[in-house]
Amino acid sequence: MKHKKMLIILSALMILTLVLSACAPSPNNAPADGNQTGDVVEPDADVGEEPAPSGEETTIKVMSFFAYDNPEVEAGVVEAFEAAYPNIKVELEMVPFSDIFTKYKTLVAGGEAPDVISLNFENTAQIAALGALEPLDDYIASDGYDMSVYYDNTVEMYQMDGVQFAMPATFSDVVLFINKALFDEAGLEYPTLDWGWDDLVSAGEALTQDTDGDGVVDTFGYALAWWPMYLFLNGADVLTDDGSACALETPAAIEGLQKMVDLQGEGGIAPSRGDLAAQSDWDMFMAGKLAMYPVGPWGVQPFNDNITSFEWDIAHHPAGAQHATFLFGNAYAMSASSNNKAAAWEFLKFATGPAGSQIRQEGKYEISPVKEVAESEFLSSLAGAPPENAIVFMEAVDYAKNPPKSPYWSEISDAVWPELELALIGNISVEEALANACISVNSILEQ
Amino acid sequence: MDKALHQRLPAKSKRKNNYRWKESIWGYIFILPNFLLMLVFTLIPVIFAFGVSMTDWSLLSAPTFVGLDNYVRIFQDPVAKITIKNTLVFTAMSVPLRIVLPLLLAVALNQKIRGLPFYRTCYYLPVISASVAVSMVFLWILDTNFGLLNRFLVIFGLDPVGWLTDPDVALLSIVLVTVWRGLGFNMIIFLAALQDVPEDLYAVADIDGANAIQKFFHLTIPLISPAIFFLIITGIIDSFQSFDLVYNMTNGGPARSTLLLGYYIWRQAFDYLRMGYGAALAYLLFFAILLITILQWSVRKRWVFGEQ
Repeated sequence: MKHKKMLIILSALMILTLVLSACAPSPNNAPADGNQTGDVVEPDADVGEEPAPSGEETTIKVMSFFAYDNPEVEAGVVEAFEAAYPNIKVELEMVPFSDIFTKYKTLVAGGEAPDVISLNFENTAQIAALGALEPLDDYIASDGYDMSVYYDNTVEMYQMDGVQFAMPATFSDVVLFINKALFDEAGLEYPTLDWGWDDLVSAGEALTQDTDGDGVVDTFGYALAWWPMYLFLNGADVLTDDGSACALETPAAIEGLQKMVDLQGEGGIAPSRGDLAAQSDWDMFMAGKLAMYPVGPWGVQPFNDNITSFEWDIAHHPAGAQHATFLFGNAYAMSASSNNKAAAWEFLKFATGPAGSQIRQEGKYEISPVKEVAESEFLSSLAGAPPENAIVFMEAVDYAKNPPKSPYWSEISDAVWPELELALIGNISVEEALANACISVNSILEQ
Repeated sequence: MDKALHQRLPAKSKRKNNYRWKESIWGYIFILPNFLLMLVFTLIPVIFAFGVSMTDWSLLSAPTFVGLDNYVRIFQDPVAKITIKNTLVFTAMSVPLRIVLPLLLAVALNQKIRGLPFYRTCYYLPVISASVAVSMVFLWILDTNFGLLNRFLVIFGLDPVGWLTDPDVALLSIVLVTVWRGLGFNMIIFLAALQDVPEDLYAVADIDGANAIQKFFHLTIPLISPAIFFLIITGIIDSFQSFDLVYNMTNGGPARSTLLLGYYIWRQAFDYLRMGYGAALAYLLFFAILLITILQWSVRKRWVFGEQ
C-alpha cells in the first residue's frame, strides 16, 4: 500500500516535471554539434570532488545568458578556457535572459542541472535559498584563490549570510548621465562629488523649463531612478538589517521616498508618470530634453550611437544624507548537484578571473569586476567618445549598494512598487503607501 | 432433453454476454486514448494539485506538509483580495459584452448581404490568432505615445489616454481586447442557433403584426436562450481563468489594476515558486467556478428554452 502510494506520487511528480520541461522554451541556438539532446551529465560517480586526473578528459555543461546577442563573446571565453585546460571540455548553452532562470529551475527540479549557471544579482539569493547552488568558500580557501582581484562590493553582493555563492563576472552601477549643453545654456556648473540634495533640486529647477511658453514643461532637470535609490540616499533600506522585517515605515525611509515623490509632478523637476507615458526618460535624454538622468553603463553605447546634437558626460549622483547608488551584476555559480565540481570550479575561476573577464570586456559586455581589466580595457574602450569621466563608474562602486539580498526580493518589490505608483499619482500619501507595502512585505517574510 | 436445454441455456447467455463484452470492449478501446490523456493531463494534476495546496513546496526542494495554512493565507493576503476584486470586476464587465456584441453581430451576419462569408471569416480570425500575436498588436495600438488609438484621438482634438498605463483605464483595455478576441467564437455559436429558429414562426409573428424588435425579444431571444446560457457559463469560466493577455500586456500593472486571479496564481507558483500557495489559490478559483456554474445550472429552468 505504501509502495503504491509512493509510486503514484512519484509518477505524478514525473508527469509534472515532464509537463514543466515541455513548457520551458527550447533554446533557439542549439549547440553547433547538434548533440544537445539526451546527453547525460558525466555519470562517472568517482570523479566526485577530486580534481580530474590529468589526461582524463571530462565535460562540463555551462548555461549562460551573457552577451546573448553576441554569442561569440562567451564562446570566446570558453575557447580560451579549453585551450588553457585541454582535458576539460565545455558544452556551452546560450539561453536568453528572459528564459534562463525558468529553464534552470526546471532542470534543477528534474535533476538535470548544468554544472555552471550564469546568474544575475537579483536571482542569486532566491536560487541559493532553494539549495541549488554550491557554496564556494571551501574552494576559494583550499585553492588560496585571491579574491582581491575583484572590487570588494562586487564579491560581497553574492554572499548570502556570509557564504559566497557565485563569482562576479560583470557589474554595472547607476551614475548620473548629464546633458552638458543644457547645463551650459543655463549657466550651471556640472555636478561634482560634492553635490548634495539641495544642489540637485536647485539645478533641477533651473533646468526644468517650458521653452516654448505653452504652459507645458519641455525640458526636465532630472528623471527618477528606481525607487530603492531614494532609500539608500537617505540612509534607509527596504528591510531591517537581518532581512526579517519591513523597514519602510522608519522615518528615514518615509522621508527618502517622500523626496522622490516630491521630485516629480506639479512643480517638480522630474517627469511624472503621465509625462513618461508620452515619452520615456531614456528617449527624453536622447532627444536632449532631459538634463540629469540616473542610468547605468548600458546607456553608454546607445547614447553614443544616437546622440549627435549635444555633448554629454557622467557624474556622481548627488548625495542625500549619504552617497549611494545601485550596484547590479552578473555572476557564474556552480550547481550543488554537479558531478564535476572540480572542473566546474576551474571554469568559474577562469571565466570570472582576469583572463575570461578580459575577453568579455573586449566584447563590450558591461564592466569587468576585475579591477585591472576594468581600469585598463574598459576605460580604454571608451576613450575618444563620451563619457569623458568614465572613471566615475569605478569610483561609484565604493558607495554602491545592491537591493536587499532576500530570496523573496522579486515578491517584495512587486508588493512595494504598486503602492508607490499610487503615491506617485497622488492617490494616496507616501505614509499610507508604505504602511500598505509593509503589510504585504511582512506577510511575505513570515511565510 | 430437459437436461440438455438446461445445459445449453447458460451457455447461450454466456455467449451472448461474451458478444456484448466483445462489442463494448471496442468502445472502451476507442475512448482509451482520450481517457488516458485526460487522466495524465487533467485528473492526476488536479488531484496532485490538491495535495500540493497542503504543502510548502518550492519545486526544487522537498515539500513540507502545512495543512490548511495556504488556504488561511488567502484571507490574510491583501493582494489576493485586490486580485479577487479585479477578477470579479473584469467578469462583470466582459461577460455581458461578450454576449451582447456577438449576438448583434450574428443577427447582422444572418441577413442576406453581399460578401457574407468574407465578413464571417474576418470576425472569426481573432479566435484562431495566437494570443501572443494579439497581445503584441494591441500593445502597439494601445501604446500611450505611439499607439494608433491615441493618434486617432489626438486628430479629433482629444487628450491621449494611458490605455495600459493609467490604473483607472488599464483593466477596461484588457476587457476590450478580451471581448474583441472572443467575438468570432461567440458569433458562430449564435449564428448556428439563429439558423435553427424555424422561419415559419417569424411568418406567424408577421401575421400577428409583430415588429422587428418584438420579434427579436419575444421570439429570437427565447429560442436561442440555450446558446446564451452556454456562452454565459463558458464566458464566466473563461474570464475567471483569464491569464494570457495580462501576462503578455501588463504583468498585472499599473498599480495592480490588471492583476487577475489566473495571473496571480501563475506568479505565486512559477515566479515566486510558492507552489503550495499557488495551488491553494487555484483551488479557490476552482470552487468559485464550480459554485457559480451550479448556481446557474439550477436557475436555468426559469429562462432557458427547452429546460422548463
